[in-house]
Amino acid sequence: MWNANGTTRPQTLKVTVGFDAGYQAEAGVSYAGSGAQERGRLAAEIVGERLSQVHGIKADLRIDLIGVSSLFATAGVRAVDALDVRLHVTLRSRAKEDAEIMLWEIESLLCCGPAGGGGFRGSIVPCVMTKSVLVARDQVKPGLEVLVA
Amino acid sequence: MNARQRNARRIVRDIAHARAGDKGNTSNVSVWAYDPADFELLKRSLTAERISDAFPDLIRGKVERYVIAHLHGLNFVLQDALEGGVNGSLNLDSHGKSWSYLVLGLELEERADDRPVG
Repeated sequence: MWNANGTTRPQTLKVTVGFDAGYQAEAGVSYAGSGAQERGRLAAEIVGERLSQVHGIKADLRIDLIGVSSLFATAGVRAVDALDVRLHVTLRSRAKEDAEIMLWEIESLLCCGPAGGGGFRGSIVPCVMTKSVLVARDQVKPGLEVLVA
Repeated sequence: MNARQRNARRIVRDIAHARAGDKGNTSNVSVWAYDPADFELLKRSLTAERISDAFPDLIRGKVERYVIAHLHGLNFVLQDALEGGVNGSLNLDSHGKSWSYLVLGLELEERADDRPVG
């Protein structure tokens, strides 16, 4: 096909539906220098174990080591001996308390986790999940409404 | 080119560039040869099975390859490959923009006559 062409318009419209998915929390702490990768790995183990076994949290959880394995963690790509590593934890839960506990767990690594951890940051934001669905055209009534906060 | 470079296996990034996009939980990675002379090598190296087999834990669904011969490019559509998609993934890169470098990091399936002269 080399030229633009078309067919009749679709009988349905694509609609992106938003759902309240609770809260998404992110928190991190960094390690640098000799043994940073090992210290980061130990911190990751501590966090995973404490959230699941001490606090019994069942929420969606992801634990990454930025500098070792984060964006490509699921693809199985890892560094060997990184000297500048950030533990980065993300959690999504309907219970805000789960998010708050996770932030406290990461922050507490500064005083009672592997040596030399620093640079804690944490945030909790509302989370909206979306799904795409097809809706019959006659069910859609175009209109405009301006909402002011 | 020194001896180490001659012996090291080249990767896709040595002959091509790439870009990734997302729609829902579907990732789309296109790969483009810089030099049309390398397009056959690129096609031979990057089959749909190759991509699928390289990242079995990441790409949960089917991989389809589209060949855009006149532009010396390949387009891969990776189903169920974004850990839930932009609003569902807990990956920092929830769009999977970095997936382009997963593909660019794969080794080329080179034969002796694929190497540049010199």
